[in-house]
Amino acid sequence: MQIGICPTRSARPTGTAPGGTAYCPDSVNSCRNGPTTIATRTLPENMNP
Amino acid sequence: MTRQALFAPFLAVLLMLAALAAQAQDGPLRLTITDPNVEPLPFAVPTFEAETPGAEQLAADITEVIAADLTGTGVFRRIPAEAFVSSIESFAQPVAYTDWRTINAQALITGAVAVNGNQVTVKFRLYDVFSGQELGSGQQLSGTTDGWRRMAHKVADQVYSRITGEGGYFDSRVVFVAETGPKADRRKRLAIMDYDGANVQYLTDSSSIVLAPRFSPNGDRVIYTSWDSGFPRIYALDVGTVTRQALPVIDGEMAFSPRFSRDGRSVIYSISNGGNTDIYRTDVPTGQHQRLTSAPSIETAPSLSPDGSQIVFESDRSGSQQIYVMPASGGEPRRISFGEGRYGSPVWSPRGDLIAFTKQNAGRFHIGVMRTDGSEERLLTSSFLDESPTWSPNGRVLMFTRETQGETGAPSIYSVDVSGRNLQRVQTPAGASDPSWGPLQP
Repeated sequence: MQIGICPTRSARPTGTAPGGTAYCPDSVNSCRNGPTTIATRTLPENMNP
Repeated sequence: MTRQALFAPFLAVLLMLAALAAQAQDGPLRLTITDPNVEPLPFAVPTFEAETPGAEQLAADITEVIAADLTGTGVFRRIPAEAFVSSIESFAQPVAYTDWRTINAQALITGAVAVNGNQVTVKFRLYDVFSGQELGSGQQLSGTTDGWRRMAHKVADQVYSRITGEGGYFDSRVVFVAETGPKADRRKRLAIMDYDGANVQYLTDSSSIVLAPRFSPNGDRVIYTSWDSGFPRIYALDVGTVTRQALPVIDGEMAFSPRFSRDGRSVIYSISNGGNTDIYRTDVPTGQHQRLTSAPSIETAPSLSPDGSQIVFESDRSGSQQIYVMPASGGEPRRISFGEGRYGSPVWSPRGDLIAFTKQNAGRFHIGVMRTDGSEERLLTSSFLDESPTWSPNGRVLMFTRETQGETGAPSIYSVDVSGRNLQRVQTPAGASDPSWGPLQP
């Protein structure tokens, strides 16, 4: 996941809020995270009686 | 007649009843969420095991989000940990079903969390306690630590889906209008959040009014109306890069009420020109326009059916605001709302079976649903001001705006399930209105 993509070129994140939100110093005071990739796989069967 | 022959019919009936009882006890775990009288299903979710040092807090947080997702539906009931007579020491250990049956846990969710650097791995299994078997296969999800809430939502989606047979809706986002300030000077910004109100982020500043944001079908873009240029124009905003572009809609005094087509290629919207409002479609890549209605009345709030063949919209052509359906290419509209009062903001369910709407009658506002032919109208809510319904990705829950009365009245976003149960306020940092529920995330 990328953090801190701000909507203006000069903006740099000034901090990170819970959940990964990056706060930016311009008028849009927070900006979107980039895409998250979540990989999923199936587990082998559990050893139950 | 022998004694055995005399009792044979009774024996057969007894065996049949025993078989039915065994089937009821051993049948797969299943919950029908459309039943308005459904009894919440009790489930146990012991805190997930921390498989690496320092993962304890994240494991606990993930467990709580999963539990909150499921209990938030109103159809699951969490059994408190204090009631447990058994503990899960290790994700790999066999499940002592008897201990979980003792506390009437119908479903048991076990899991483990491992953290390595900024990578997190979440494993889970779902057990049908009374049939004594795993329900579906265990799964492992891997990603970066800042995506942990999404992983928890994905686990909850799997549990919900395996037990109800319906698609989930927890790993989804909602775009809405964040509102601050007094009514006379209300500041409106475009914002986006997780379905449960977490991770609010602002997509525009408050320098110009924004209205009616709508997600694209795959959730990559938001289309909305803005007064940025001094008059209402429709913009599409890429939620990943927060860049926007004005859509090449047909010229008019005002362009508003936009929605994407199901393939995300075209946009249907309203244009107001010379005091008349009609519905148009624009193919975004080519910029070609098509006029879909042509009447002296107000036609607006178009919403496409899931198969793209029909459009539901509101019109006052009969003298009062009502809901109509017409072919997606235009054509003769058919009125489908006939109850008392005024109907507006219709939205076609992603399942295709229902149309949600706002109804105003006798000084009250309602969110309701009806069949696509207008039959079986049901009002789900009632308040001073309820409006702007939007469907969850699985078509089982609606979010909408509720505004309180008076000078200090403020808008909030609420959710209610399609049977009218489980009315809840979605927690947002400030005022919030006009939600649009996006799709499940990949």
